[in-house]
Amino acid sequence: MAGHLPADIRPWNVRRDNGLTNAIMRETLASGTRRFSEGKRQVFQGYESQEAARQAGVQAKRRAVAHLDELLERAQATIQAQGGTTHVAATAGEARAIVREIAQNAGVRLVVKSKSMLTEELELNKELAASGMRVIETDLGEYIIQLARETPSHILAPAAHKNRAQIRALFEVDAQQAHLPPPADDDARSLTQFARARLRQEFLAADMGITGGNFCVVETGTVALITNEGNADWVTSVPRLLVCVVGIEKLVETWEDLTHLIQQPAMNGIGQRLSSYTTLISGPRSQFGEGPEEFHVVFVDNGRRSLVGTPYEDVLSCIRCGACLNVCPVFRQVGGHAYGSVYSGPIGVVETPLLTDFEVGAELPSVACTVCHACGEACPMDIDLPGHILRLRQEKVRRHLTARSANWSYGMWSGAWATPAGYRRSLRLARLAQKIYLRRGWLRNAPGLAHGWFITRDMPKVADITFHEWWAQNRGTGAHD
Amino acid sequence: MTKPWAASQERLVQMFEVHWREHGGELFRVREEQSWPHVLNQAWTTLLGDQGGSVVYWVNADVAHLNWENWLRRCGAQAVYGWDAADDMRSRCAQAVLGLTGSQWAVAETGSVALIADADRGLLPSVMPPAHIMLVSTQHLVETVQEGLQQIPGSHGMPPLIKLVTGPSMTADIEGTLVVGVHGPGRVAVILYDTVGTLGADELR
Repeated sequence: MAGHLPADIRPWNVRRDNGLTNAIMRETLASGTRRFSEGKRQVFQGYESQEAARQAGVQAKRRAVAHLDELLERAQATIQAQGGTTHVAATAGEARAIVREIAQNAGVRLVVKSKSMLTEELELNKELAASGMRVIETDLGEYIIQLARETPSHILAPAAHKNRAQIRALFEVDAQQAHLPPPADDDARSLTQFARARLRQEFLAADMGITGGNFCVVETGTVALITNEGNADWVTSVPRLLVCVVGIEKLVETWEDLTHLIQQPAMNGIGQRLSSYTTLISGPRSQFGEGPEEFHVVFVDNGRRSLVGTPYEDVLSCIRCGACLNVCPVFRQVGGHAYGSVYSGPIGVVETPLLTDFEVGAELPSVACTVCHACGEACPMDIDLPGHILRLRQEKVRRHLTARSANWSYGMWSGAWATPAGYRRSLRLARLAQKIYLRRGWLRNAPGLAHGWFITRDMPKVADITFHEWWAQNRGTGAHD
Repeated sequence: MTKPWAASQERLVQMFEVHWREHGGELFRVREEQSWPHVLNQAWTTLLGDQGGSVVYWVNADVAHLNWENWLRRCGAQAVYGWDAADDMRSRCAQAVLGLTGSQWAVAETGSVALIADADRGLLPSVMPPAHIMLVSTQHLVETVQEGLQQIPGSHGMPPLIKLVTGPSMTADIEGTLVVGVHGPGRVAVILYDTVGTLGADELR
């Protein structure tokens, strides 16, 4: 069954141009993605053991996806045996309802969250707010965009499109409402210190914590959370209720599988051997005074299972490290918002239409990829991103999701070049037709779809005599003498 | 004469030091019991300067007999609370200037320290105060994350809460500028100590 993802319904060219004209975002993303990619290159140097771990990790993820139903059953049994409660949601709507009911039954008024792409996908905050709860994002970047009522522009750097002055302005309003002194200055340090004090109020008052899960280990019933800020440690330790919302594709079978995978997100995403905080939670607190009294794990499908057994199955191995975003020449220019989906960059191009059966982001495989294959090289889980993008383009043609003018143009082109005679004919035609567009010996424009290509490029004209023609005239007859 | 075991342990100590410092963590070494008060004082000064305030602490069994409360007070602590499961522990942690904790094991090749919560050890002292000191026995250094994690789950099943600390709390969410001390401690130190009786007197000198 297809899933549902929130969508920015503005057309691609509007979203794209918004990205291209956002100077702040482009500057931050350019330096950030470069730093992350360079960090990744360096961290793998002289650390050969992690290449073996990565390969073992890929195998572990592939095995898990192949046995998803069985693993889901077993994970639930383990977590329940350790005192946790489990839930399975087939759709986004079910997942929202489950979390809302857990919160309502416990009389929750304030929820603190650590970063989770899945809860963005579910638009969970909206649901809880509609039921009268306050929901606070505690990852610094997420908190900033929550105050601005926006969505993340990068998986790892959600507020990359905001500058210090904008953030200070948001914090000043927030400080007033929270009766706190405003940030002392607009440097990153003062702004961060304000957020520390501000979010501390919320952490200490919260009734419920919500996290995602980087991995979920079937054998031990463990949800693994990785952060650099330490906010997940507050969220898991302080409120009396903890809900981990976990995509079913996050399951891995054994503890050993986890040991292979645990360093991969930080190594590949930001070039660290391990993130500052790795938190492994396997149940509610027992007899002693730390950790949640109630521990819930909500497993969410929302379109994931529909990929099992298809050529796209390996997409479910994604560990959300962001490596493909960091190397993508399109992402680096337009930023995350242009994709109009929670998931951006190459993985978003593939996953958004796949999870929603082309309801959201159907345009992405055609418009947001240069087929440079950098993402395929960068992906630590060996997901065939470039191959999938091409496969999705083919799928779009089969489903008649491409523009009729494009189908016609490409149909003509492929028909013409299918035979040598057709190819020669098309060149003779082009040589005649190009006269309209020739300026100083260069082709500066072309009709129809090809016009767009010429906006930023010129092309040498079709030669007065092509090599084939020259060969036939001068050497063709004598070549085999 | 250095025993082969001690030599390989020393290699792990050096490896741990490189990676722990890489993240901006401070490192101190205690080779014999007498130097604890002095080293603790050094660590305090490095992390907190001449700042006073309250401390929440727990330590591993092998050093539990030492006079922590007294030493911490001499460093500048105005109040010292040993960790227990009492309800007011949360507010004590929130007010403390320093959390001092033991650890389960530490990983040399990543510079990580593992903390496991149980009845006598909480993780809040590692999260809430602005500074955190971890005591790590050199005996409990392992080379890889995998080696460390393989020690869990133990015979008592799965501990509900495990944490690996790999440097201070940090963020680069504002214009990509690295800032430490977001939600967790911005200043972290490890005190590596050799346990008397396990190492021979040779290695301690």
